[in-house]
Amino acid sequence: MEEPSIEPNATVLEDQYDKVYGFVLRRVRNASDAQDLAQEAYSRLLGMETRQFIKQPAAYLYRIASNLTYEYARNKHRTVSLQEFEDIENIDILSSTGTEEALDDQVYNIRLLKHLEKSLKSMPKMYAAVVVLRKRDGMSHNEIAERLDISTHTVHKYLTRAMKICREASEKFK
Amino acid sequence: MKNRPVTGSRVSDEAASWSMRLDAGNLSSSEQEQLAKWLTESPDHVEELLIMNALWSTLDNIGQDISLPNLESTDVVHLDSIKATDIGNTSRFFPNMNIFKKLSIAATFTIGIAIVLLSTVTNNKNYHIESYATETGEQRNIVLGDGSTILLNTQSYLEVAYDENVRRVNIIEGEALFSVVQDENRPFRVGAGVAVFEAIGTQFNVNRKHKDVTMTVIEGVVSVSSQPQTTSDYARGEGSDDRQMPTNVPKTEVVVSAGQASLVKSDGTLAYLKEADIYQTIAWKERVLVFRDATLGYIAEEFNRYNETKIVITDKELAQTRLTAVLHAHRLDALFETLQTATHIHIDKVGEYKVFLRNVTNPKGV
Repeated sequence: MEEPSIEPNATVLEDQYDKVYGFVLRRVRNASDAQDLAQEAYSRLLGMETRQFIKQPAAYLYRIASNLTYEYARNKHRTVSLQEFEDIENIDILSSTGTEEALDDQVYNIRLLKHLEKSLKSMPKMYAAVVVLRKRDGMSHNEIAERLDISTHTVHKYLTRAMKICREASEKFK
Repeated sequence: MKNRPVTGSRVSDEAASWSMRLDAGNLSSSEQEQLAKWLTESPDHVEELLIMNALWSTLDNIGQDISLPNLESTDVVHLDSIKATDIGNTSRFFPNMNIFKKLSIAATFTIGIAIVLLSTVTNNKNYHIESYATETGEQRNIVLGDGSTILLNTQSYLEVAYDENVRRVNIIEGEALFSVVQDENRPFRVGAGVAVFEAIGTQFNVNRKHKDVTMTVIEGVVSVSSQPQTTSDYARGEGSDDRQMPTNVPKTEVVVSAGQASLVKSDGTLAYLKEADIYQTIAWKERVLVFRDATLGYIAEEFNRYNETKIVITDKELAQTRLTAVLHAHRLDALFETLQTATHIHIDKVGEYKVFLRNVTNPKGV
């Protein structure tokens, strides 16, 4: 397989995020799969050229996860879905992995989102407020700081704590 | 199930922090380097960051009708706007709708059911809530409407809601010293996890750290009760009513007077200490840390609450070393000086914000 190229194009990345993270979350539902994925990503990451990696670790990690997702989707297609959908090549390979699974994913994601929204409701309101301003209103961390009259450091702290609570909620959710 | 706890762990903390740092954008080259280093430390780090980013990305689709928690006025957070109209928004979850035309009607029907099931409505209570937080090393004195004061210790967060019948405070995390002005018609009620403390006029200290809550009475009398999690809470997977103000009149379990303390564990177990060390309890006011036969692990943890520079001990045996000392919370140098006298401890400063304590006889740690 080709070595992943870096210098990722920002807009392309944006577009791919959902697919990769949908994949990651699906793995989360099955914890041992998630560990396998992380192990595989980790070993690839260690094999990367260090100097480049330390310049853009997040982009590299994302790229690796993206490749793993692609490989997974491709294997899945070969083994399961080909005879069922003859026009399969017209379908975006990642977003329609075995269609039933994709549907499952999307239903799961909606349920997860509702669960996270519920968890936002019950967390300390300043934590929830920074998340809402960021995600609903698309404000930057600096803008949120100004709006709430707190430091950007505090914005970061509240976001971090909110995410910790969401993470715990996601474990309970499954 | 996972065979190791990840959520609530240090890894999860760090992953959340990195994820939000990435969200802010423009990482400096030294931050990029730190992130790279952190990722290569363990596959757990890789896994947790991926999950954290995935969750964060899930929130992109947060309902536009989700309202901002009301931060000033009398209504509390009104985030419950998941209505049936949400179905109108489903297209954003299904950008490739044409693909789904290929699917059976039955499958589409499943989506419909899922969405309807999700349209749960929850109740809200109305309070006027003020929240207060402190940063690492910060202490803050809060004067409330009735003249009562709260001294908030480092890394703490609490919420205050007063009404005509009761004065309520909820400690989400950290430590606070309360000086309560007497008002017989309006009890002063402090919630901290499953613990509820009620006073009329008095001075007491509440410390919520990890899962346990310690309350020490300096002056007067405080009643202590606990509200164990109900089975239905567990069934819903919601845990206890942790983020809510203490509403129910607590059932008195123990009355604690000046010079005494109580300990409430997360399962609601209540312990009572007849002779508390008042000086040790409130020495933090002066940023003095009093350790009596404390483990080095505990001491490091206490210092880490107050300082950006973090002490890390990887050697379990070393973490169990016991020490008695009175130290200023910000004087790490004084701590290290004390530790230097113990010959088996090697102090290794790494960068600006990390200090490793290592066991000289076992330098790699366990």
